[in-house]
Amino acid sequence: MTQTAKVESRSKGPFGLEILTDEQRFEMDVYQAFLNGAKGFWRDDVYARVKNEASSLANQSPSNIELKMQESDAYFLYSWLERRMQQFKYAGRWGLETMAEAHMNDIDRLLPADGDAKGAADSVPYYVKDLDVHQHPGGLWTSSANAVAHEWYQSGASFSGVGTDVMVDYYSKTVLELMPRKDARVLDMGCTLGRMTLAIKKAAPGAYVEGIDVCEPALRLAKAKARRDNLDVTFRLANCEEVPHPDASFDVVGSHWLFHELPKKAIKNTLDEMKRLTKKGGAVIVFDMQHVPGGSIGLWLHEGYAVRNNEPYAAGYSGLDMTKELKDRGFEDIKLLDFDPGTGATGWLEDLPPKRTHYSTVITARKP
Amino acid sequence: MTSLADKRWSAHIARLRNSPESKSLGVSFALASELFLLKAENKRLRLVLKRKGLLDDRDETAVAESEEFRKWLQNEQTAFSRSIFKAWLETDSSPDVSGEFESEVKAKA
Repeated sequence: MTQTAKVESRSKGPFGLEILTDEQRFEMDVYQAFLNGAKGFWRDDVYARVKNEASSLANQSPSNIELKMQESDAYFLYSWLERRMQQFKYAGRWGLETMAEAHMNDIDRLLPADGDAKGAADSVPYYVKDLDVHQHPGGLWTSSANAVAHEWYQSGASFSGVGTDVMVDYYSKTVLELMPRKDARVLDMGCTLGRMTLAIKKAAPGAYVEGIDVCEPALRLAKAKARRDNLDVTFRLANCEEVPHPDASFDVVGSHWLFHELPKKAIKNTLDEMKRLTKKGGAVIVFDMQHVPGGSIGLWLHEGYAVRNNEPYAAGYSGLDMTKELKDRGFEDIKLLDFDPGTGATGWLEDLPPKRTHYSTVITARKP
Repeated sequence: MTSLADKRWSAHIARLRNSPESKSLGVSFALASELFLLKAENKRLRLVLKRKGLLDDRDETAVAESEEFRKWLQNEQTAFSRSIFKAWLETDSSPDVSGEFESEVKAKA
């Protein structure tokens, strides 16, 4: 693994913080600091203990490992912290959702509904609507308060308690490298709050950049951030399984942490759309948790994560042979690279990392 | 590599959602967050007072007996207890997606 340099990214603070009083901001920050401390204990100490306890089971199936580890106190604590800390983060006394919902009127004033809002909720697919993805109560499709809560979350530490700016930088820089020219057309699928989309525009000011998502309140916030940062980016309410653009509309089509939230059928439909929308000679990028290192133990922990953190399709995506999927669709020059969001290190992970992290795989390919 | 195409994850999630040890951890965790914030507030306040040369034991005693403090205590004791024991009464608030997970795994198999 090689270490990449950390690059300066966002310079402006998280949207919506101005609605909190100084005291509320203090309470929320301290509460999140407490949770991040607990996450650090989970990520480093408890994870290491569980990994060590399970090491003698490395030659067994994930199913057997789960069976044998059920009696482990360390594994129970690991699982409990993994699942319940997310709930505390959102819905605790000073949780992000609790704080945002207490300021619902202010947030609605900051983020007035536009033409996209009418009937938007009806077209949200079941895999977004029914699961409280990431255990975010209500998800990102229900209200602008939820979107603001997610913005506060994204601006802090990630699920594994590490900063995520380095990941934003890496994704936008990779998109830039894939662009054939400065005024290329780039589509960011499943853009949620536009964090990646805006980073692409900042990295490539001459490009046409568009983000699409099914969650209208999230797009409302993405548009507001683009206005605030004076960035000319288009945000469109659209499903990545059926994008309202003609064939060969874009030079680069990408997605960041979208695929693990899609059931297999939706993944295949999205890949079909990526192929259809990409121009000849253009490129695609899929950045997500795909390759699971650490053999059977890694798979066991990953499947557990998927079910504990309400991301039930994550294991399905990891089981998919993405090289084959892309080859079957005629893509060439297919590259897979592991990326550690905590450090920015890249390479190919065989063993589980010493600390629990959201190891991701960056997949790129060209359309001949 | 075989995967978890059985109901084991449902039992795992059920334990995390409803077991007594899960509830106890929830209560402890909520309590710890209250204490953490309290320590931060106390530290912040004492640093301010110290910088201004205003920290005095007699003042603290007088304030503890004031109506303003009593009122705060009355309100806080209700919110504090509710916040801590909420985890025991309400337990797990996220939907159980193990059924969806298992059908996806089965579809893969």
